[in-house]
Amino acid sequence: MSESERSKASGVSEARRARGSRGESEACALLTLARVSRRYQMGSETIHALRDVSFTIDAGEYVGIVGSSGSGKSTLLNILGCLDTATSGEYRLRGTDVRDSSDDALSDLRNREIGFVFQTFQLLPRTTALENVELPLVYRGVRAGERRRRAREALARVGLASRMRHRPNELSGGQRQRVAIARALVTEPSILLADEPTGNLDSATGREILELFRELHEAGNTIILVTHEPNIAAQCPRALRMSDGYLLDDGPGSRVVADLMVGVRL
Amino acid sequence: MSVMGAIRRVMGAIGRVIGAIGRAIVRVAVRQGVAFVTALRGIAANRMRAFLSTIGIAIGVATLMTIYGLTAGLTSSFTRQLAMLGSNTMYVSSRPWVIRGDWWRYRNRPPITRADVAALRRRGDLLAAVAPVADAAAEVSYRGERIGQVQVQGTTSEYIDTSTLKMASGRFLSPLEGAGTGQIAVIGSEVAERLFKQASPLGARIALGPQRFTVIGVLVPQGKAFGRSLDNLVIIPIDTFGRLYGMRRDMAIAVTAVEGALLQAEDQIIEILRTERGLGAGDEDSFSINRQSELLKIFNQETAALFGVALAIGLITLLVGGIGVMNIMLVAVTERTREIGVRRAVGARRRTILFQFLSESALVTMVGGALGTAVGMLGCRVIDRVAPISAELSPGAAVGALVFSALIGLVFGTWPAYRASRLDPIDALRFE
Repeated sequence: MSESERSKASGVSEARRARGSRGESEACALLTLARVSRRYQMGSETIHALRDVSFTIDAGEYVGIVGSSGSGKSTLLNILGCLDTATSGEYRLRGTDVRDSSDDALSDLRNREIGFVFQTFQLLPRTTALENVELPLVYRGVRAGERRRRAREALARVGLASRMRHRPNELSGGQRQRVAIARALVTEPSILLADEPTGNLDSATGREILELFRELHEAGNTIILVTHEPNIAAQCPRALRMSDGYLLDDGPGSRVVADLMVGVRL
Repeated sequence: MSVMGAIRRVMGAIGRVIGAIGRAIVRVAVRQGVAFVTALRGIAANRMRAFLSTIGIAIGVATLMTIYGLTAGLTSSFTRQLAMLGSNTMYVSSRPWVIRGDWWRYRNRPPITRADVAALRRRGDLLAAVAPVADAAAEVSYRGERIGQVQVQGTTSEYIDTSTLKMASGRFLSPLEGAGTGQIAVIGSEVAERLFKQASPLGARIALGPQRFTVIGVLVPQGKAFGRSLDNLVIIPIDTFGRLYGMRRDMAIAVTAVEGALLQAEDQIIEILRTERGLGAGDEDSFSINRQSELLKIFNQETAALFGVALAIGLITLLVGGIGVMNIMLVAVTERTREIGVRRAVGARRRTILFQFLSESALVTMVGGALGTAVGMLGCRVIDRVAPISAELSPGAAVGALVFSALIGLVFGTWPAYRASRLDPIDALRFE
């Protein structure tokens, strides 16, 4: 399945394809969304945050999700991250149907399969970098010694070997985000889910973080990065463009963003 | 071989099951253990607030502990004093020992006299021992050593049979001496110690008022009751007592019933004394019979009422304290909403969050409980020293207080912890 094939697929046709090819693509498809919708009830009004979104992401991909605020990209991220479940449609993560999972099962899925990186870092205050990184392992029930060892490894991987004993308020923004990435990596999750990871960083530091993501991708990690900045999405090998809850475009980042810009210019 | 193989397979399966169970236990232990450590850290981060919120609990626990200590002290004082009486013994006196409100009814009762004693001796075939007891307080001295406010009791030889008094050395009054006016005395252990130190008091002549008495016996120590020593005592013959302090003094009669006939003996005493005192059919008794079990019952009722009121006050304090802790925990949950979101995002289950906040509130109240226990123990010490009542706190009571305060934390922490566990992770992460 080439990038060009995928690039022209609309949401609906992709859903059909995902369903049709499930049998043979199960082996490499990490996650599959089939006609996923998410509706909220706000008083008497129904908000369609996601409408019939379908796509497949394979292990090892680096996918940007781009869209303006209110486009549904955050909702999509929450569903992908098992923080939220679809109102209708099917979301399969490594063959597990997520929609029918209990709250405990969702917690365990997040713990095992997902590594979150947030715009605001979301580190625990008054807690050292090392302990922050250990946190997901705590909820997996890993013993203290093993936890410490793996957290050290993860911190070394993001270049923070010398800052393990520092607390978040003693670290720069870029360093904080590196701690958060180490926390996401430490469980060796199936997907690294980053929500505007450079949004709170200056552009130089942001570039460093994106470089780190690129390295992690090259090392074999699956990365999904949500952004509203087209130039970040353009650097992704693949990008999904969201608007008004629809998946409008799916293809190589540079092409999707070029089309987006044309659209903006028109 | 195939049998060995089967055994090996079964053993392997058992091993795997045990391994899986072990891992599950470790997993739970790690999660909850860390939740506990997290809770500790949460408290440490807000030491002042935790301390303030726990003061209510501390006050409540201190109140309860002091009351408990006081009640325990009172009860043990009372039972100790009663133990001296013996369970088969009644005390006949002009007024009941415990008067509850209606004291005017007893105001004009005539004193108990030697005639009453004589009547009981003469006609009471169910009475194994009858001994008049008169009380006074006086100074006792021996070679310049003085003790003030010693309890002086005038009685007869039968007194020792009505009580649980025992001789440590020497002997009690003999029947002849008890009836006579000899200048002899049996002394309590405290009097012996203070006047004679290590020396034997037997045969020594102690001074009681203007007269001198030869010590013929020393009693076994009986301890303290209501802050007063029961061993600060001198017993002399009743007639000698009468000459010293006056014959017309009100006295009591200690009466021991024959074995197994306590109630019949009481009826007999009433019958004999009513006849002796010439009371008509419609007249009230002009004397009272005090029994150990009766006293204990009255005492228990009185202390139960006291204890009940105090318990209610303590519990209300704890309720207020508990609500304070609940309030603080609700604030903590709100403050740490994002933290909860992060924990949920990285895989904490609801009940792990629940446990974290429950252990935090239980810890806070336990600290309060420990503080309160310490204050309560100190309070009991002070009361024991300063006031004429004793207060005792057992280690068991302290442990109980800690467990109880932890329970309060669990109860009042449930709502905040539940709220924390029910937070939607998405909203929690976005919380500003």
